[in-house]
Amino acid sequence: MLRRVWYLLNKRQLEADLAEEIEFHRSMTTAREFGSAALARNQARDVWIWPWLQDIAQDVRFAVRLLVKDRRFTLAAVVALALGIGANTTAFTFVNGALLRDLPLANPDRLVGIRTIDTRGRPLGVSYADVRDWRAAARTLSHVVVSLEFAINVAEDSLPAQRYNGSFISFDAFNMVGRAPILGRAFLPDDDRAGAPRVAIIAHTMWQNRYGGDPSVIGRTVRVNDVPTTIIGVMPAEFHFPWGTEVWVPVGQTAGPPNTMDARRGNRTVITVAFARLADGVTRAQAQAEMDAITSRLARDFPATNEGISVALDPIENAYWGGEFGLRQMFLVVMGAVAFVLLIACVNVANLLLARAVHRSREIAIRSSLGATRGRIVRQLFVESVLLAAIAGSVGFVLSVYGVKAFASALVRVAVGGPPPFWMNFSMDGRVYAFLAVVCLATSILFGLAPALHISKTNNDVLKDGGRGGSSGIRARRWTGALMVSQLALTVVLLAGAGLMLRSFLAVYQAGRVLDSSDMITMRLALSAQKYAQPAQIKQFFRQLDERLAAERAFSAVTVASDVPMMTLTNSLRQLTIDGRAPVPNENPPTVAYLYIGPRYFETMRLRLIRGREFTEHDGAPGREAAIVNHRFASMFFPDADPIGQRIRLANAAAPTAPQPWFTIVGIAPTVPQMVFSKAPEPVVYVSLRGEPNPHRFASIIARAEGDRAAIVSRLREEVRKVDPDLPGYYVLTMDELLAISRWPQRIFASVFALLAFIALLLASVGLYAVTAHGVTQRTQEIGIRVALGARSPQVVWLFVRRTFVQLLLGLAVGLAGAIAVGRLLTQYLVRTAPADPVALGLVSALLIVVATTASVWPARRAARVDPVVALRYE
Amino acid sequence: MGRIPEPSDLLPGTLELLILKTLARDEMHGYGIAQRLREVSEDVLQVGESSLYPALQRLLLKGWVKAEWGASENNRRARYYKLTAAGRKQLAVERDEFDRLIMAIHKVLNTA
Repeated sequence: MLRRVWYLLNKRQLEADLAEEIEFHRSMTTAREFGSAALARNQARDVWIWPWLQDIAQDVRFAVRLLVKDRRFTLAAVVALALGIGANTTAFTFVNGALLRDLPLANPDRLVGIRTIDTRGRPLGVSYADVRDWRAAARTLSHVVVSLEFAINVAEDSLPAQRYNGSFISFDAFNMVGRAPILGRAFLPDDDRAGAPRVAIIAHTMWQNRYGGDPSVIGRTVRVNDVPTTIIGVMPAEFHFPWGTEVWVPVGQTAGPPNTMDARRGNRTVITVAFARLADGVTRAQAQAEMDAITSRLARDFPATNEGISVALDPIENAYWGGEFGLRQMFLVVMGAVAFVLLIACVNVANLLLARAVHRSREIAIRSSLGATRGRIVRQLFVESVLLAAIAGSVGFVLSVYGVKAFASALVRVAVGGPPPFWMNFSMDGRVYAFLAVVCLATSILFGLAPALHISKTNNDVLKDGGRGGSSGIRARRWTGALMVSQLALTVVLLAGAGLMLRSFLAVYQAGRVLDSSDMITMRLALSAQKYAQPAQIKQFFRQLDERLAAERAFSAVTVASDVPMMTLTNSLRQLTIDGRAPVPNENPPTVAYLYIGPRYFETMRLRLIRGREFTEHDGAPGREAAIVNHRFASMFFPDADPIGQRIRLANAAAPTAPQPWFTIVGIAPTVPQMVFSKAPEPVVYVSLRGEPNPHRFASIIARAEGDRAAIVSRLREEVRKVDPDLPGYYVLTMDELLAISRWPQRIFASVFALLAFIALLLASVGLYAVTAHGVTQRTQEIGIRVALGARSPQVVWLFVRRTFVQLLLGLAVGLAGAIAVGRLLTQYLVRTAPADPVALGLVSALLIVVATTASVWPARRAARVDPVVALRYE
Repeated sequence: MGRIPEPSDLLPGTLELLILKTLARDEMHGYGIAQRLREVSEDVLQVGESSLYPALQRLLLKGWVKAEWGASENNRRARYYKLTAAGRKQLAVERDEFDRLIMAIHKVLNTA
């Protein structure tokens, strides 16, 4: 074998040798032979490769004939394997995109994200002041870049104002990731300081959509959050570093009040992030060591703000794939699930092959008695398996192309109000094709090996007249039994996964049903820091807006609130203190979600308070601060007492100096899921907008209106413009869309698992059916004798179903144990469902028992109808 | 001797055995092997290139001989074949086999 390969590799040289040699021979011969030298050469050369190829070609021809002849078997096997291979290729394409493919940044393996963590390992944002010190001190990092994600309103006289994802970013960020503007210039160090002329670089998407790709956009002056700013560059397409940015502004220009990048050292807001590039020849560990030293020096110099603060350098991929949604883990879990499906498909096909093997034992015996070696027979069977896998692989590949398309578009749709995530590239590359090839080959070995070994051991007894190869039948049945048990066990695991996911989805779905979501639409607003520097100005704006909206007849109900349900981020969390209860020592105070709401909030949401009263116009005045809590809050913090009349205080970690009045609880509202991807209903405190001492500059309009969505949205925009002409609305979403977004992890997971479990169940029941039906055919004679001797039909059916039950029980036992283990892996994605949820596991077991019994009783009933006379003649 | 036997008339494997035996004494190029076979068999075995070279390639493939370029008696480039250790072992095996075969044929011819 090796020499043949060597021959193929050195073909040219060896053929030249041979030609020269024969030439030499001819020149020496006196009595010349007839015939051409080329012929002699060819004959000699063919020794190397021809018989081998001929054998293989023969095997392939035979295999094709067999597959064509046994069309039903071929179809069943190809469908099963194609589903398995298709699902695996699809899942691998995502794993490849998320784990193996490089980020579209220069040398991404040298880039790191810098996280700040407190003494308990909790993540904080980074402080701009710290970043500047790191930058100045670190020798192991060639670039240190800070970025603050920010909503940027772009306004100019000739075009309507629009809101974009913006970043206040260090000037050398583009340099760090190795990208340069395609138009205009990059930022210079001089741009990145306070008082520099205001400049911005825009993304390709914005250049195309807003300016129609006009190159004269360079030098244009626009109002960026009300500050006149010159556009100096356009970045290449599909570049939105760090995540979805469309407008970049040098961070140094914005530092200090009244702008947003807070230069105070203690300010570590979660939305400020830092990245760095390792200097040449430096490892991440070395850089980490240096950063540790710098951090402890800063802790000595600034004990008030930096004590107990440490930093961690992470591979930059974590910032893209490891985050909140944990897409990486999610893909790996799905990868595991599809591997199960493929295993089931392999087991199924192996069973079909084994069943066929009994029929083929005669053919094989003839072959071996004619001198075929065992290796030769195994090779022929292997060629059959590879051919089958190759056909299934091509079908599976086509399936996976559609699978990837569908799943990728579902993922990208989740990015709301910005460009599609530029780092998500789920195209198929060489690695995916290699994976497909390896999976096909591995599958063919996996499903082909047991039958091949079994068949090749068949002895020649089957050739004897009337011989049935009794011992071979028993061996085959043992293989089949083991395969059946493993198939059932794998199916149980997948079904259990699907059950847990469906339960979680239902839990999320149920939670959202509190809201009457029909005809509800929401719009987000981000006020500029320039125009609205004081809390009074912010409150004034929202009061005016609210009055205008309330007067507008187009809306049946409308209100403003600091956040909409299911979209509230962690920066709306507050630390709770309850009057009269001492804080637990050495423990952080409990956090609660915090919303300030306009008048008519509960009316617009169509929520009726469970107890107490809504806010009146007197609430919120100094000394009359009032709060409404949700039911979850009441049951968490006041399980045995009446919360109404109690006083609470709410501290904002991001603004420790803001005033903290005592709020008196006046009402209890129904529980509405509030946080992004909330898993459990969280405690919520509502206060009136009037009573909010320190409002931030974001708010949402929530309106109910019948009719055309575009008309309603433009009506809303118009009302906003009347109050502030430079203020665009964004994140325009109906409540139904919000609900869909909030459910997507559970929905995608539940549907993927349900689909895979359905395939598994189908394969398992087809497998059971085929095996039982085959057994009935095999044992017709025996059944005839039994019936002739007086066995009644239930006894005959039991003969076959008994085996299924034993296999089913074993499969269930193994499968449930596996399901509990897998459930633990899924915990992260489960909502109000235990990993070993008895309801899910019970239903799954019941389903499998019903399906498996049906699949085996059905063909077994045929056995009961056997006519003993016919059966005994049967041969 | 009416007809000179071409190797296809020989028993399968015999030509390979003869080549191995020829090479057992000394390394030799293809033409030399053919010459030697003719001489030793007193012109009974005349091996043509169309059977000699495929046989040599088969032996190379099985690893029983090695080939190396060298200079011939008349100073031309020629490929010399040499028995490998495996080839030497094979020669012994094949010889025994062949002897048994010949014995068997004799028996058949003498009893039938």
